[in-house]
Amino acid sequence: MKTSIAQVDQCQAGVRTEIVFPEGVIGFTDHKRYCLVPEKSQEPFLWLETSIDGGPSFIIIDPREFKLDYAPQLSAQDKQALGVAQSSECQFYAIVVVPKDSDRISANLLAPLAINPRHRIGRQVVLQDQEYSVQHLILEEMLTA
Amino acid sequence: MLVLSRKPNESIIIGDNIEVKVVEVRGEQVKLGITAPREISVHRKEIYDSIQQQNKQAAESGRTDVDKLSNLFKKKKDAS
Repeated sequence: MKTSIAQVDQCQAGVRTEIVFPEGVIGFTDHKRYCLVPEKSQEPFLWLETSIDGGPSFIIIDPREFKLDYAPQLSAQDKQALGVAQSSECQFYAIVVVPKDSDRISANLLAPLAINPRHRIGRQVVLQDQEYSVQHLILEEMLTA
Repeated sequence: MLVLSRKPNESIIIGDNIEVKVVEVRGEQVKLGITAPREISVHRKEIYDSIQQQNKQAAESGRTDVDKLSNLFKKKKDAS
């Protein structure tokens, strides 16, 4: 857990961190190299940008910013792919969808991006048998919290 | 599409190293066991499709003003 806190501190200092997704992101398997781009003015959101021009970029968020008890459990296969022994060694980010009505921004909590901050390897994991939505309304959750 | 009949505990093999076994058949539900190398991802199709669709929509949020989003988020957080 210590390493991931160090990673967050580094991001807050405005350092771009390169993360390799060996299998890409679902639907974008051709793009493997991304940069985490945190900006103070955009917190708690940040960008995950493709390193190469023309690739996809995503707005992402640490789900615990609005869902304190978010605790995804990785499968043995995911842990092996990420090179971790415990799910808690990973940082988790949810990909955000921003529709025209920005009150209805949603985050994909079922298939978060799991990042091993030590190896800077990422993987979009699909959580098995966990009650999370692919389209979780972020602001609604905060009002009912 | 290739269609094969299998009984419980029988399986099929795809290539050299992907095995799909019928573990149980109960009414309308079939339980499958899949053995595959770790670089092969296995997902329920409808879930995979919805994730792919969400990712595509997310990648189209390119021109979003995230500063504005950040303010909206912070306002709601203060109010809750």
